[in-house]
Amino acid sequence: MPQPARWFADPMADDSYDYLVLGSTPLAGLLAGLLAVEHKRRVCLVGEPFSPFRLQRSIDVSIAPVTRPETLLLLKRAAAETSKLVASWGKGLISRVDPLLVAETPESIAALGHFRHLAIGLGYAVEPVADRAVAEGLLLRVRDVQLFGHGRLEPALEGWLSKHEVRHLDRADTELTLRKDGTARIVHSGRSVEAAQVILAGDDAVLEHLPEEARDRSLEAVPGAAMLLDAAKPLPAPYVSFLDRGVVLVQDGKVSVSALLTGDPATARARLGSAASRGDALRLAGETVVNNLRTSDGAPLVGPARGHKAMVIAALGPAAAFFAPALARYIAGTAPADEAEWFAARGPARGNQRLLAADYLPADDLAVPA
Amino acid sequence: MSEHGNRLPGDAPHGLGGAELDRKAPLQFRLNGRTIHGFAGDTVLSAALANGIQIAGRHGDEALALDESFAPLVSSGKGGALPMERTPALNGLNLVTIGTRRDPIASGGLLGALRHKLLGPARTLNHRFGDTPLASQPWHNGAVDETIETDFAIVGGGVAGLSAAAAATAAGKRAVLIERTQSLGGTIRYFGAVDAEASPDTTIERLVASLDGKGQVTPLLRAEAFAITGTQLKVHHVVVEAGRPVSRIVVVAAKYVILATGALERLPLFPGNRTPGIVGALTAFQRAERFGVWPGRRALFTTPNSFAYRLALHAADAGVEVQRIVDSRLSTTSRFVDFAKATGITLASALAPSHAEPLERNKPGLKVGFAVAIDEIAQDSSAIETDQLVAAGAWQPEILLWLRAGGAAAWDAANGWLGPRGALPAVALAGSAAGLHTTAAALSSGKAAVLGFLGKAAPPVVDDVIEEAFETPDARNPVAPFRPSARGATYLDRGQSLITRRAAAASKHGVSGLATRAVQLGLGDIAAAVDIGAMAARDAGSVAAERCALSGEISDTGWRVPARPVPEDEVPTPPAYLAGRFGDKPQIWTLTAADARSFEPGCLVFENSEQRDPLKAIGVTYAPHRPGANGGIVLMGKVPEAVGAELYVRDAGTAVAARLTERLKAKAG
Repeated sequence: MPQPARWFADPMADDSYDYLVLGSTPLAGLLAGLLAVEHKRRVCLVGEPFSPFRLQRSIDVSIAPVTRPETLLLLKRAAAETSKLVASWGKGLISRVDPLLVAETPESIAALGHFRHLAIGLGYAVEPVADRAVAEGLLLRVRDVQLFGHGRLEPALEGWLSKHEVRHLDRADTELTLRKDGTARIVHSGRSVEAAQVILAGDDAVLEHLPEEARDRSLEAVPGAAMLLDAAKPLPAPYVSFLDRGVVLVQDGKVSVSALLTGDPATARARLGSAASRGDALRLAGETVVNNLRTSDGAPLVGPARGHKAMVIAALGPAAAFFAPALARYIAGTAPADEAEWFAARGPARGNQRLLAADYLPADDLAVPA
Repeated sequence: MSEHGNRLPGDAPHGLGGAELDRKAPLQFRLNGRTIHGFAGDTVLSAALANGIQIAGRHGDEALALDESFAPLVSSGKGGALPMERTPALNGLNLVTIGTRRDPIASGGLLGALRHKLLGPARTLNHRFGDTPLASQPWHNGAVDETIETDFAIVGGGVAGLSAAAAATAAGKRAVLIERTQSLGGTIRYFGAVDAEASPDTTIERLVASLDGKGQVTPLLRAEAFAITGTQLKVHHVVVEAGRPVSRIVVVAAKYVILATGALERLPLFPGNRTPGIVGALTAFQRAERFGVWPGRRALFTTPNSFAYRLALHAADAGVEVQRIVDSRLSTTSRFVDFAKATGITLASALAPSHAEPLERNKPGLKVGFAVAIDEIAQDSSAIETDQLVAAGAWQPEILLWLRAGGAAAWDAANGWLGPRGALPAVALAGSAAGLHTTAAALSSGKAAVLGFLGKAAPPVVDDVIEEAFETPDARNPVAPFRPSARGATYLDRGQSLITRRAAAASKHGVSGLATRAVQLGLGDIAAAVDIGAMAARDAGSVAAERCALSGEISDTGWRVPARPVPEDEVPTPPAYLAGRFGDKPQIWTLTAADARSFEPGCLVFENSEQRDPLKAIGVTYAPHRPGANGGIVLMGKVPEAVGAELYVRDAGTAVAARLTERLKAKAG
């Protein structure tokens, strides 16, 4: 019996999705959209609506101070795809910036130094900067890096998902049942549909939906905060990451600064003040808690949960969203050999396998409460 | 204008002569060099308003009204920064406002005196507001002067808070009652009594008398709770010590917290809505009722509800010429409307302010236009000149502390406000802050909150509003149709954010100033943004939690990255991120550079000078060489030859020849 036409316009009317993507960051949105657009899968995204008014829970930049050449190479390729895609949605959604990365401990200086040489070898323009007013240690400026434009990106991402019929449900209005076999039931507006595979896309989704016993042993929750600040003086660069202070700052207008803080809340404001105040008090214009995940070895984690077949994507760092095209290929089973190998090496901890993917990890005692 | 020309007579009917003043005790103090006359019982702000100071300063071209929600801090040089609206006016004080000021001739000295003689007394505090508004409140980061331990901390001395305090003391508990103003009772007198309810004065007297129960209630007046962690409140308290007002920080450590913080009256949205001479109806009432302050002799009233009619009637009885009461509702049924008609006051309906502007720069008086307030139809009526526009707005529960405590909020479409959601373990809301409408509900909710925490049964909270047949419900906050050409800014709220309707609308890049301006937002900003469609209602609660519930500034307090001991191993251990990078049996070597340079950690080592692909590197420098030697220590995978083999180290893009000099053995473990 033919369905009324209106049911065809409503993806919830059909009885299943290939993927349920959980998450509220641009990574989750991009991944859901790419699975639908590039890989022709039926996708439902459940998370907080993308709102330009909310504080930035992630500051998405196309570079990260990684120390594995294969990671930097993968990121470079995937970031180029992501940037091209996002730029095609409209103007001002992504901008080219020269971030400043700051290392202040011998270990971080060595790691950032290594990143520098890897990046130069892969064609990035990276130069040391001497500015003791910022910090002592190693300061690197990376040229021509892509940064998502907060406030502009969110409506465009929502529009792109809508255009490609990716159902985006507000988690507040959605009841989810995640099963151990990796499937899920989604109940929204009194209707129930099934999803064949759950993808926990990002730290926020893992922390919210995956019970601790189902998280990989290498994963560890890290407290954090997002802030909006009024700064009397502009930042020394449009994006500044203080690796040893757990502070990332991005200039978001003449005096507006968005900050992401990682680590011990007890020292968060002191660390931020030391990194950003430059002699003037910063006025707080917004603050929210943002918890993250990191792995004990510094490498991202992509693979099934413990005793659970839901797929976990966690600890991808500041460039998480820019990995989306490669992640989509891997999930859809179309990744080329080198990408598949990269993801396989970053699966759940089994024996010493993940040691070979270990990456730079800032010291515990600076950022994580005892 | 005389120094008391902006006050109603002390014996004005309906208590509008200033219940808190002692007119037999005149006083004077100086504010920015100008002599201010007042009475015992005045606050610095009420005395300044009574002396004709109506303007806080300018924001661009806009003169901004001096208001209880928008007044600069003052300082006497001792006692720290003080809020004008909570600082008692004391004889002989010499105060200056804190912030950026201009136009020195408006201040003291000979030029000030000359200006006073030629132009009359200054009406402005002469501040200049940019996108960064008033000086922030320094007490947010201040040291604690006193800690009080108690069973209940009750914020708000209105009827809900008083009822909670009475219930606490009746149960033999200790309570600290924190009230911003210098008297108890809250806003009940503005709303009056309904049907068989006791009069507001009777209700307040009964509640205050019942504070003397088995337990103990400690009232803190002129006190504002600005931070809450769990059930511990930080309170800024203005006290008088040795004849001077002083700031104190009090921590109230309670077992339970009752937030009876009332409701805010929102700013109607129209161009020029913060022009000096415009005041909210509740604020106008409280200025008169507490301090007898009423600028000018003519007043226009505009309202989306019936309460402003009551104020207009009382003001008329007190001698104010009520030029018109303009109601944004189409057809209003209310006993107040009937009373107003009976007194001959001109009434208009289905109209809301369309714009306001000063009659003359730096002179009192303003001109107000109205437009049809139905379905966005913009049909202007002729403008009216007046001394004061009493502009009532819709209500917004005051839930900032609730949000600061970690409570949630969501847009309440039925009431058109941002309401609290959910529950907190030991923090409860009562009265208007909980979204209740009636005095009866406020009274019972305060009591119920206390009894609930004590595990005792309480009567249900019944919030029965008057039936629509007898009292037309409140309309939404008035919003004038948007006209890009309008003169005068439309501010979203009365507070410090200074966000205008134009800024809130999406820019050509599609971004609203609400998203990008790094200012703390008020609840009214968010409610207005929803009303004008600049923000989705679903975002309102989350944005309020992120952008309204803030405290403190961030400065460099001297935190530095902790120094870390450098391992003194003769052969440094390679970092974990190099594991497996150069095979499963890497070797550690010293390397000597041909040009005697030292390599920084992280340089890649290649077999020939042409290679640069990191994936083809055969090693990496990871530690400096021993002192006095050049080159560095490398982790190597494929070692082409033994000692003396020539390799190339890529140092920032340059291939530098180097030789392996010595194989080292790392310590086991």
